[in-house]
Amino acid sequence: MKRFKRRLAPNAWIGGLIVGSLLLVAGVGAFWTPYDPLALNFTAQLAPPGGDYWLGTDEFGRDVLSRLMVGATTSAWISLLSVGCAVLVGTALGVLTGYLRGAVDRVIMAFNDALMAFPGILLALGLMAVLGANRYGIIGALAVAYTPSVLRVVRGSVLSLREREFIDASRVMGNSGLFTMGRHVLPNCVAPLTVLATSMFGWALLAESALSFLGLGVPPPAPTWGNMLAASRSHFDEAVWLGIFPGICISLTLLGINLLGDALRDRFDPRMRGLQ
Amino acid sequence: MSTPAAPLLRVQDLSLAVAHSGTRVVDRVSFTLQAGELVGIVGESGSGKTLAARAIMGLEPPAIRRIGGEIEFAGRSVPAMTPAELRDLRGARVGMVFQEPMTSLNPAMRVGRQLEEGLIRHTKFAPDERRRLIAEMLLRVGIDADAALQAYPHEFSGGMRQRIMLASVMLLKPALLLADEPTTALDAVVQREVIELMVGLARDHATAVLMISHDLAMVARYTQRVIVMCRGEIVEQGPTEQLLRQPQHPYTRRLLAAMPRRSPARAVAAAPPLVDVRQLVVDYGSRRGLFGKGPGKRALHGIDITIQPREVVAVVGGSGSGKTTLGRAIAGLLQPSAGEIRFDGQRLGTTDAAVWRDYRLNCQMVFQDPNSSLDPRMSVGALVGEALRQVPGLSRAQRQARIVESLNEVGLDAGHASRFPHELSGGQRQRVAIARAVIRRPRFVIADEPVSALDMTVRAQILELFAALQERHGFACMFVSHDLAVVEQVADRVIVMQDGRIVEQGSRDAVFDQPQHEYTRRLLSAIPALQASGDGGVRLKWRIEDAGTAAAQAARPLGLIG
Repeated sequence: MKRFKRRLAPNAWIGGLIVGSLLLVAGVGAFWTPYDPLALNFTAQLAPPGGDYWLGTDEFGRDVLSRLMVGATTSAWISLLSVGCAVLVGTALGVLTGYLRGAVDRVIMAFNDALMAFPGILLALGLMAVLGANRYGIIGALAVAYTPSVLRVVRGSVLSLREREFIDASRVMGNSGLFTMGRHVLPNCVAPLTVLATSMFGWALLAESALSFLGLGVPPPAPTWGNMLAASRSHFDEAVWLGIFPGICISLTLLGINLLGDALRDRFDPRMRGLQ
Repeated sequence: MSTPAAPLLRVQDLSLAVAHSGTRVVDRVSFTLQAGELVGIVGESGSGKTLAARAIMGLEPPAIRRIGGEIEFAGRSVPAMTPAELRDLRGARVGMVFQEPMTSLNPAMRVGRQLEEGLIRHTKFAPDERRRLIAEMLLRVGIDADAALQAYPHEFSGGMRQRIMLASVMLLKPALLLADEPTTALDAVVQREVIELMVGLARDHATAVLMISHDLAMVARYTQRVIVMCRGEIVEQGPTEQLLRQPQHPYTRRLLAAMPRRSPARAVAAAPPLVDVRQLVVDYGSRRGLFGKGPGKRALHGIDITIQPREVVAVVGGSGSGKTTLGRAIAGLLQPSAGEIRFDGQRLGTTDAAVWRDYRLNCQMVFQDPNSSLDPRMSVGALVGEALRQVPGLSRAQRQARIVESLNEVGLDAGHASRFPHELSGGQRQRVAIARAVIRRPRFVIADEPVSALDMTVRAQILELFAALQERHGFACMFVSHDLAVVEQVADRVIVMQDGRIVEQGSRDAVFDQPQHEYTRRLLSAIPALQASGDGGVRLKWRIEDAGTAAAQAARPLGLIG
């Protein structure tokens, strides 16, 4: 335990603290919020922060804090699931194509490059037209948009890894190809993958906001950080807090996740241990 | 030695340290160099030899700071020079040849332009004059000027590139040439040609040479004085002959004792061959484009090899000789195009899975570079233990006991099991790789250049360990190496390969003492050897006396006794 404590880098605990408290807020928000996030109150439209409403209210008199708490759950789910799917599918395909090479590689990579040729947000827009403008539509669309970059990164590491002698050593030991991939190839891809996954989590949060902004996100009145940010635009001159608080939430989350991602990468990589 | 007036180069109490931590990497190093003198700096990796030499040109990496001492070149202080003065010094007065000819020439520039660069920067010759000088110099280094000027570096072999590098440096007739491991990346036969060319050129222009090398025999053969460095300090320096005959410092003695030497011949009991390779052919398909296969390249042209139980067979040859391909094909890492491999009388590669399994359990491999052959994410215990996965019926405790036993066998202890490869030294890593190879008690081990990535003293220990394990467990071994000195120490039988064919094979003593094939002779005469003289020192030995050797003797600089 003592050893663990000494090795815990500042970015690990700061990142952990931020992400942990956000998760806590989201968790609480699932069961209790100060006000009903959907309840309209026309006596308190655009109330400034302080007093009864800590973070103020929006143009319909809905409590911003309650909406942020509930929105955290939605936004976190969307980002987590879309990045999770992209990482799973991209890694599996990346290891497969990188290790097997040949025809499999060429077919999958041709398809992958075609996908990459579309800008992510455009691809997501098109997919959402098919999948429907709801949270599962967003998740699916973002997952498909992010898979190609995961695949590229993983395949790249696998291609360089498979030339290393320890892959040959594993074969000489009599290990099967599948075992070698799982035991030696995959763990060595974790470092670039963590970095990519954490930054993708950020992109997903932003993309969700952007899609909501375009009216393709989670339909109102359900709150997400993205559609709150989008809605704040029309009242920016009279109620600046409507945009600021969701913005702070998004940036803080990104910061926390990036710090945590760096810490995780260092931790997963034995070569980085003890360097701090 | 006479006492000449002003030395060309005087390094006094030079100390270099890592800037952020203050660790000294070069510690109070002092030496001088006279004009036209050939001096070698010998030391293992981390001894600071390269840093000390780079500091002479003011080329130490940014992370390294000079914390004391003085460097004087032709009476002027190098550290006191302005950047502009340093640029005038570099190239024009002090030239440098790097280790890796593959990377020290700019791949995107024609050779002619690269040669001209220095002349344009440092001289005022007219273009015609420059071209004439370049053509002359290329002729001198043995390269066809007309074709070479318009060619790109990748069109040349490693040896040719090092010649071009030499030509570009010597064009400016520098007073001092720094050569950092100039032949380490080259094949044995080419090594000799390049180094003799370098020495010859230096003598033509009365250029002093500071040769940095880990190769004692090479330094002994071509230098007048030797500086021995260890952990940033000079432990000993003096005239080459004397230093080799009577080394004073314990480290120098250790270095000399670590030189590989021939062990007494062993008798290998006659038995049916354990490994029997017949007419093995390996073709490399050319890169497959979108539209099918191009013509392939044949790497092995029908190789026949037999290896007896308990026998160590060395396969030697230059790069491109197919020796590594042969090892990989026998290990099952490459699919042979034709021919057969029999292990213990059973033919491999047939449909019988049991035969293949048996072979897989009994054939193991030790790779060249322990940095690359150990998975960086696994602990030593897991690395060594992974080999036991294929052994049926082992309990957890038994497996653990086997791991510890294997680690002990290679001179590591149980405590190392929880460490990671990056926490070990190069020698310890190779020990782990050996432990992993022998833990299953294989009957046959393929070792692909197992010591060529290691330092001299470590190399000697690993070779000793390998021999001891081989003696104890009695595995047969195929030892692939380009290093004749190492082969002479370990092998029972030697196979010489060239261009994918076996050109000579026979017992070690026969091949080394009475080489039959022309290529074997050239290999042997290319590499000087050091022979123990019995009193802790060594003397230079020529493996084969030939015309070239006599020429080299004659080419030796003055001032050397014997």
